[in-house]
Amino acid sequence: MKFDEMKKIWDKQNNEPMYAINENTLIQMIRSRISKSNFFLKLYDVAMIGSSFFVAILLIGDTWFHDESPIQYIPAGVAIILGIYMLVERSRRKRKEQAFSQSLLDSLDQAIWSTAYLIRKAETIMLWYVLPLFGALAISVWLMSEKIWVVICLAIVALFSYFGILWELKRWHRPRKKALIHLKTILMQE
Amino acid sequence: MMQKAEQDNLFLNWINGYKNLIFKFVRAYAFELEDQDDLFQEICIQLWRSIPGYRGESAVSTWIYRVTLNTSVAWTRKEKKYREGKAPLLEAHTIQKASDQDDRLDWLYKQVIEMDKIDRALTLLLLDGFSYKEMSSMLGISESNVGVKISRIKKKLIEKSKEIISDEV
Repeated sequence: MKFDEMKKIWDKQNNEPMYAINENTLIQMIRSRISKSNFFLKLYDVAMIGSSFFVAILLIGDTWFHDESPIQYIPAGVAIILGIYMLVERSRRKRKEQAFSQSLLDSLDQAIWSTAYLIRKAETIMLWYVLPLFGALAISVWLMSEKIWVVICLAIVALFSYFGILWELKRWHRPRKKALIHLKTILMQE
Repeated sequence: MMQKAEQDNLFLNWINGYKNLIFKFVRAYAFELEDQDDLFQEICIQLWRSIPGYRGESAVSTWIYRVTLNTSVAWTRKEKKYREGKAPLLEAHTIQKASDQDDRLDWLYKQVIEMDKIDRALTLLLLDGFSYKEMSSMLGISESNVGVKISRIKKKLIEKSKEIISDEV
């Protein structure tokens, strides 16, 4: 079969209905999916940025009102820097997401960037939030009540969260990044 | 700023006007009906999102083609977790009807599906009559690279069609 003949066969389907579309469901689905994805991203950003500034305010307030050692301003400064860093990252991500990919190569680069961002975010949560948060909670519980079973429960939850994030990275984000890089390599090679 | 209702109307016009273009990609990149539904949803979402960015600098068909192509290549089966238990957007019977009409079209799809995702995109662009220059701009690679890939794809397709003919004989 010559290629022109294949093209004729291909063109035949241009006027054939292949599927029927349920239009009402379509618009509802788009609205719901977009608002859902935006809601979770917003929630995450607000929680992370808000908690950083909240911790900073607490530390500064504590040092100021209780005449604590000025050394406490250092962790407050770190929390503020972390909050500002996350704000900048958020606006960078939004700008990148809104930009339309002019080509498949652009689109793959954007997808690789987004996946790398998710990986970085998951690793950040694990190292800087999940483990320190549970550690601090466990120490406070121990100092206040000496209830070992609560500490053990907290340790179990922390481990589950830790392995949950590891599993998500291994099962989804890292293979996706690898697959996207592979696609880009195929696209680029002659 | 575009109103939501205006965006919905334009979106439905796009979908109705260019659904066959989208369906070709859906059929070439997703094989089970459930997955086809997922990919179709993903393409629709990307198209809907792309509307405010459309400035009319390129033809609507080219814009829709770009969004569909980019979404299909990067798509994987992750969407299952978003399934909402609602009625599917696509109804299965029509695709069966279309494919029953010409076995050679089924054969062509089979060849396309067996290719890697990038060659698949190139083949769809080629079959839909795009020039090397347009393909180069849509894919973001040089025209000479497009040429090399296309001649390899054409050669492979013609050889496969010979196999089919010799099998039939």
